[in-house]
Amino acid sequence: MNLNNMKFDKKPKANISTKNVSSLIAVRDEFETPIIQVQEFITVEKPRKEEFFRVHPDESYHFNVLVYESQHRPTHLVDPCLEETLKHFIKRKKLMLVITRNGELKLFPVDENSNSKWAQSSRDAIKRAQKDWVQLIPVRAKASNIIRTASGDLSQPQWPNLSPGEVFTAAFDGLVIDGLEHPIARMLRGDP
Amino acid sequence: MITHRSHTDFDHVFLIDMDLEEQTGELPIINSTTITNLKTGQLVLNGSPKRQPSELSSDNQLIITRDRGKTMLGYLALGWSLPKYIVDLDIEENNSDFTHLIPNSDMNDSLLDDINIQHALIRGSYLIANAVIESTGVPIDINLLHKLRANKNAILDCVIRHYDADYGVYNAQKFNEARFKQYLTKHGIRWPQSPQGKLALTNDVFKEQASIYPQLLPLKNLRKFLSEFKTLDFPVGQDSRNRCSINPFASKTGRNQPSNRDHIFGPAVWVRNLISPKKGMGIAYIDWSQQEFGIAAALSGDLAMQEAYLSGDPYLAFAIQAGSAPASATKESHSDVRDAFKSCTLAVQYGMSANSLAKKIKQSVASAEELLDLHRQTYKVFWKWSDDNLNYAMLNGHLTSVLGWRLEIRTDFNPRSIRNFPMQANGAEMLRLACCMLIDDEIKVCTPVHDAVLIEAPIDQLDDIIHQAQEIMSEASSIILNGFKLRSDVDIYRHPNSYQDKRGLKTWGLINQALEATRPNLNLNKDKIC
Repeated sequence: MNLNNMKFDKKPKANISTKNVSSLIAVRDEFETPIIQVQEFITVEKPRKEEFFRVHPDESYHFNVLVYESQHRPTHLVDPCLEETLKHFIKRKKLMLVITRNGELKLFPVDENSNSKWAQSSRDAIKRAQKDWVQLIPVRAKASNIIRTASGDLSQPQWPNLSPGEVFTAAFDGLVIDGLEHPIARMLRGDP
Repeated sequence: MITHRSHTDFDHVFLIDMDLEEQTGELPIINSTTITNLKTGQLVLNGSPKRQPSELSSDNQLIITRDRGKTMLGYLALGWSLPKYIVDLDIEENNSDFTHLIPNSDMNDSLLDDINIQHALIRGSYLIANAVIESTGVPIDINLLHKLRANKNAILDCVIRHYDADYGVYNAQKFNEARFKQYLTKHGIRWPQSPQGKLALTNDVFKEQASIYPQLLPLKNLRKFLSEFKTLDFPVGQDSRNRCSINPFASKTGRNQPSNRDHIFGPAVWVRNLISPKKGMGIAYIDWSQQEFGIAAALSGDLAMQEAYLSGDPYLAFAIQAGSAPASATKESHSDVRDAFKSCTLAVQYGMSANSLAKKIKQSVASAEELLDLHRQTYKVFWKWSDDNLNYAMLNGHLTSVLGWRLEIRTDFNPRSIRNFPMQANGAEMLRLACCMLIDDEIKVCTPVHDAVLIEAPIDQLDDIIHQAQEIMSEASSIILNGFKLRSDVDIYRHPNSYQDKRGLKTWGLINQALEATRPNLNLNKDKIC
């Protein structure tokens, strides 16, 4: 006979403490400081529409650069000496260092020359995000972004101790088109 | 009753480590047990005691475990009385960012300082109830199961012969890709391929293709059946009951996550036909009606949504509230409208896009967008609450259920999962609380299932116990939802009847036909499957 089976004949008794559970139902707690994570690389992208972000107020963390953007590849930095040769494929963007509420760093590419509502609303958001936590929500029907700011006693962003150079390296290490022999430059020019 | 506000309110705090050897379908065997008094640092026990140590007999003591409740099964296997209060460190670690909960050589009860002890004790209560439930298990028709297992190959051959006749793509129960390619070429069917030229053969691709080429539907169903037939390996104890770990708190929402292979309520619905109460017994499957809709209505405080829930048919009520059906509409008179609004409601709950909803209701994307817009207009308060939840999560990096189950927001967050979290996590709280209350009332719970429980009772008491269980489930919902009570539905099966799920009846009929056809000397009817 299996000893374990014998145990099943005896109905186990449990004295469970759930009598006053209703008094323990929680109300939402107060705002807390977000977690800051260690980040090995920084992506070049607009914050997602759900994310609240702040822009680094120090202008040395705003980078005026040439970039190659593609749906299928990460954004590449382009050497200024290639501006004329690749002018049909690359764009001049201002990359703003932003931090999201959960501590993720991103470089938000903003078009400083465009008069489109998309670009204008992004620039407005950048200004606001130097003081407030901001959400940038695209609305296709209006060809623009809605800007929303978070109210309440929110903690200030905790910027990691990275120099502008370190930020740049974290974003573009291995992602620089530095000459016409670069595979992407060759592809763009139709070189075999 | 949980009145303790801190671990210091307990007379004793014991850390128990059991070396357990799991037994298929049975309670575990305990090789050794270590008990440490965390208040004094004293080692109370290290060995294999025959009787429950006297130190563990007091009521006002806290048991600390770190194996997600397996120690409680160990208690039952050893015949020990279950404790009243436990906190499981493994679960509490997963529910927080406290990495220092892992006891080390100089451990003491200060490792509990940062835990919300009251919420942790409620979670612990469920581990106690769950041990009782897991040890109870689900009654199985073992003779039928043996017959299915013994004739597995014959059944598979039979079904393949029947269904594959028009395709010829199976060889010795294996799908032959080359033959399938030939079939596609011959019938001029375009098929998605990988960049390497291999055919995409996932269930989703087959489903999509079968909707375009209906002649592929039987083949799609055959493939589904064959993959489901593998699920007969679930563990069954010597007393013919399916027992396995419910895997409590395993999902991010805190829901149970039992193995699909081991749990009788895994994905293949027809397998549930093997659930069968013993002589003199009956079983009842009790589930909360539209649990997630009810939770959303209650917690968001959307009165229109609550009214829809209380109407008994929230989908039709939504259509009426949105002005798409008259107030006199019924399920029968407006079945198409109801179906579309039902799909829309479920789409909102699961964060489906207009594109996916359009496919589901077989209408244009514009129609789907219109439906979703009607939901936003009709249930504005719910949408504001849902937006607030998402924003709160994004601003604070977490979201919690009403009893403190916590979702951490990572950088690869999915906004749909965040919006759905309150429904799932509070649904899980509701189920756990109901299980605790059912076990406390000595109702025999065979297993929890997502938003339901399967209970068992002698036939002559079954109706009364079902009524009692439904009252308890209503009370549990009321506690979690601040007074809003959810209804429940019940399916009852009395011996000799087995559990039935209408979604699996077609396959079950097919299996029975195949089983019958495998019997020797049987005069086969031409209509039979082989």
